[in-house]
Amino acid sequence: MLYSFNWLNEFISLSDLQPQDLAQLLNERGLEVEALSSEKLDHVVIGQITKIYPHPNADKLQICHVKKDKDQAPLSIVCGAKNPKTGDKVVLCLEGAVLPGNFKIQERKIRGELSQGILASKKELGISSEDDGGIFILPTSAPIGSRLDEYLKTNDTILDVFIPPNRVDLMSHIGLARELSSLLDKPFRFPFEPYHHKSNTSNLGIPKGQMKYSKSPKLPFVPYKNSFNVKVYETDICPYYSGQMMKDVQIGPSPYWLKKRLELLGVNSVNNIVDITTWILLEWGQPLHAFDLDTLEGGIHVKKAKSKDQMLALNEDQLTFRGDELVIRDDKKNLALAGVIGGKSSAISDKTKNIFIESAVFAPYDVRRTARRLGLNTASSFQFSRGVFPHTSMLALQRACSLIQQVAGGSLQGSPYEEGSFSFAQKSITINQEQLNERLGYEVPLNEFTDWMKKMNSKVTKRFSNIKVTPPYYRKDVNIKEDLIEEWARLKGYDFVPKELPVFAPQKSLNNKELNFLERIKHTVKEQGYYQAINYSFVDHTLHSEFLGEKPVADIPLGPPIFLTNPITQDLNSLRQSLLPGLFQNLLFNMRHGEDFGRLFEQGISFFKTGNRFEEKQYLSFMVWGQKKDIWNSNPRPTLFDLKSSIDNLLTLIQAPDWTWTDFEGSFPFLHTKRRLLLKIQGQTVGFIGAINPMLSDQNKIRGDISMGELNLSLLLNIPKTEFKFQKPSLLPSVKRDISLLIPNEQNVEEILNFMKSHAPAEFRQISLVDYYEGVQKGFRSVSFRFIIQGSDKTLSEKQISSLQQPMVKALLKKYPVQIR
Amino acid sequence: MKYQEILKTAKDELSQAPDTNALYQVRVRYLGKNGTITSLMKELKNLSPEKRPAFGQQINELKNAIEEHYQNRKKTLKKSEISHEVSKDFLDLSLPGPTPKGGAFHPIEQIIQKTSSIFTHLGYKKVSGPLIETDWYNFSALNIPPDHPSRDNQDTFYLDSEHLLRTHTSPVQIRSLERLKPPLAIIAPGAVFRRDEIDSSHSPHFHQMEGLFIDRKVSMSHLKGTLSYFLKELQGSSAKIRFRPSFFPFTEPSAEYDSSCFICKGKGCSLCKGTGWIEIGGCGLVHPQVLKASEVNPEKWQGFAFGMGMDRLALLEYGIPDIRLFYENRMSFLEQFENALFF
Ligand SMILES: [Zn+2]
Repeated sequence: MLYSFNWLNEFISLSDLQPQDLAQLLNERGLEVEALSSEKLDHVVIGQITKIYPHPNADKLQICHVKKDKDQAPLSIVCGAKNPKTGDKVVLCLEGAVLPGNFKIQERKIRGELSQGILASKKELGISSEDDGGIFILPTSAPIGSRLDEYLKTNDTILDVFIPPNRVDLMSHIGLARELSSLLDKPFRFPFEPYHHKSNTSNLGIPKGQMKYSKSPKLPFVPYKNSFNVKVYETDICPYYSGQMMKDVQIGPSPYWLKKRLELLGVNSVNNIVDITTWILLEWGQPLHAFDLDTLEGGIHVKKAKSKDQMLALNEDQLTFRGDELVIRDDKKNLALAGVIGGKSSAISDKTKNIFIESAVFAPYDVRRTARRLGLNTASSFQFSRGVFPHTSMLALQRACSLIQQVAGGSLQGSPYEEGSFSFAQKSITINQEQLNERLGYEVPLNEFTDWMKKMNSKVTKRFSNIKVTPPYYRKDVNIKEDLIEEWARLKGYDFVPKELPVFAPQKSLNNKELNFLERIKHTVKEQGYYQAINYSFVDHTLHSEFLGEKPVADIPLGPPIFLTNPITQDLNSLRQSLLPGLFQNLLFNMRHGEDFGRLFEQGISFFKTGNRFEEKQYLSFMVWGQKKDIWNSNPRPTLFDLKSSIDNLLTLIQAPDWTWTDFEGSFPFLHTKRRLLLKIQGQTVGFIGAINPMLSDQNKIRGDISMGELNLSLLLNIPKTEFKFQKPSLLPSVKRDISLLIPNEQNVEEILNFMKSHAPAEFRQISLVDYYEGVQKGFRSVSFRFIIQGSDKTLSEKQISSLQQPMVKALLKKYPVQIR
Repeated sequence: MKYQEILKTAKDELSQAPDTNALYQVRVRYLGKNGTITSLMKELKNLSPEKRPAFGQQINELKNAIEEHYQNRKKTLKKSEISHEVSKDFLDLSLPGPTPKGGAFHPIEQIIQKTSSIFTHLGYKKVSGPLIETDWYNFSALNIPPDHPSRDNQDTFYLDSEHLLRTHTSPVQIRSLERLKPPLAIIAPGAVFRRDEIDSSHSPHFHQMEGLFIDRKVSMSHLKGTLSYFLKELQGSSAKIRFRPSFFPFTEPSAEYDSSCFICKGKGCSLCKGTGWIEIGGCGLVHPQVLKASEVNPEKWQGFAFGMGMDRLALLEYGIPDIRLFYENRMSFLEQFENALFF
């Protein structure tokens, strides 16, 4: 929230503090100052004209001699305006000054005559938006040589302070000044004299001794009797309602001081009445609403809206009510959505003459719910959502009337209306020395503790070792002893807290199988040369589902999509059901930036919904493209085989039981229909791999050898691992035997290999592929297999090896259309 | 006698053989199947039985002598042949070996592993929680009731009236307390979600790590000691810690903790905006209401909790200027983290 240093200074003297000191104090007390910016107009001072004479070389210009210092010679300024006279106090802008619109002032010659700066107009200074044709003439009382910003009080420093959500009491200049009055032990200066007997300045919760008052003129008051009535039907939602009629106000632009201060605090000026309501919000934390009194038909009713009833809001939104909103009505129509936004029909307009100002309290929850549902986040709804204190509503109302009278004239019409009540009661909290010491870890000096609590306007009584603290009504955040401990810690600072490592009590064992499994998977994949990607969990549903298609192969159903009810944008509107679309976006991004090699993996959650149950499944996905060329490997392989071997490797390392790669049916629009494989373990599908569908490449204008794959780790986790069995290495020598086969293209090699493995005698320790090439004979591949043969108890002779190999080869030739080369 | 002559000729021939190949040929001529020695052996049959032993012994001595000469000569020849080969050898050792496989964890993962390991060495257990949470775990149980204003700060993604994407890792506090019961010490790193517009320091999907320690008579000094230990492990033993008062609904008292600047070590630089301090995260003593929500008696048990942003820590640690770089997953970005700066 933004605070003006000058404004705070009106309530509590800060003259001995620099804004930086104040920022530091606030930071130390747990109120983080997020930014500090100063508003200054350097090299712009007040001067007095001592002499005026015509410019020798220009008819329309004259030369003014301007004094800015009693003792020094006057400056010479060329000026085009006609209004200055000798003796006038004027605004002198010297070399180095920068006026609004980045207008830089320099000394220069104008038609041969030196001008040591300019005399500024109101428009050039940003004081008025219209050019009145002349320079700004100040009152004769303006002090020569003073800075203009000091004279006009526009030099200010704005502090952006983070107010914790539980410190509603600080959400206004008066609130923060009240806190500072406690922290700095300085009196609080009450800004005006309340005019109504019902208002009590002690409602601010500041003890009498800490308060100073400033006198202000009495407001014109007109006795008034009317049938106009205020009635609150929903006292739970509107515990307090007050209002005041004013007559004969003049709507118009706000004066400079009002406009400028709102502007510094980030609010644009509307008109004098609306600006005062904003002023009061910033000063008191009390949202006000001003109605055009003459548009009201009958009295004011605070009640629930009629279902399907409508209201055109100030921002031109046509609102349709549900029936649970609180509205302000007259006898005939809706006037405002309570605490959120006013209606157009009763709004202040240029023609408004008589007004009714509302200063009320509406329940935080109701205002927040309504504002959120209708998407109407106004300054008023924000304040009400956090909380408003009825204790000061009447004071704020009167302050508003006093200011309105000052900027728009008019008179009070009768006494203020008031309905509702409030209490100052606050629960007391008892705490003792031991509790303080135990939580903070050091000996808390009790006297200092009670002193601080008193400074913060709490009532403190001491009985034996117990201290009873009753916080002021506005400290809704202090309820239990932990709150008192925090308050002490905040005021004393945390630097007193010593550092001590706690001694650990033994914990129960927590064998987190899933986490350990996932860590192991990630490490294994990384070690195989993959780079970990992290993508958002939310995706663009349209793109996501277009990419995935139905993606239903037997065991990997997608289920219904899960939408966010309030996405930031439509391209992040649902939860992902596969990590591949994200990795695919990464691929496109990489390719656009010329990255022609990639090995990405992502380990993360895919989201599913069955019935009303949400499910989060751990997935592992891959995106693989290009080969790194080096001098040792002149024959690059399709990336799909890299991926396949990586997964084989992974499965081996995590001791997965036997797995198979099989062809499959199913609509995976992102995969090449002839180059995709399903991974099955114990009959269960746990994943797939495949080359990119060339159509997809074409659509996205990408080229190259691209493969991808995805495993469902949640399934893999629950598949029992193969048991580890140690085998003593044989001391006998082993023999290698190769056999080359011609295998027709239609016959897959894996089947042959598996056949050999299952039919080979036990002495054949290993069977592997060692050579593969096409082009020996049309329609056939030449494939060489290697057997590693080792006897179990004696060395095998050539003859024995042949007789072991023979039956297997015979069976193979019988079963498959292969030939021995 | 013939013996001396044969030996001399054989010696000469062996000595003159220019290379191991020729040498071998000489050996075959004398010692091979059809060599001189074999023919001498054949002559043995023609001798009288009395003469045979002496002659036989002579042949044997001759054979051994030739063999010995052969071996000696072979050694010499081999030596010079290898020296010659070696001297003529050409292999450009400036060539690189095969390209290493590469592979790297994402920088955020690296930070998670690094920070986790500091705490697991202290005895904390690593746990995780769901990303889709209920209102209860994400808010109410953490002392954030439906009308609590701090829900304004936590701009939440909702899935329906009951379910949402967790806005912090703090729900794991409740889930762990329910499941494990005190005493306990856990850490819970993971993804969290907030409706932040994407810019150089904000991402709607980011990562946090939660820590929770529950025991008897736990104080702020234990919290400060723990986090001070953490920062020293992370940044080196000169790292300092600072607590600043703050507000969180689920801790009381609450603080924000800062580390002495990673770069200037407290002197003031552009990273710390001249303050010498870097904001790391929030912490505090667990609010009694949170313990009650998990059915733990706050009169008996107390504890502290802390949180930190993993993305932010990774940005700081590696000097990465923009959080968006984390989620583009570009190869030339990720490849830089092969160095495993941390381990
Ligand atoms: Zn620094």
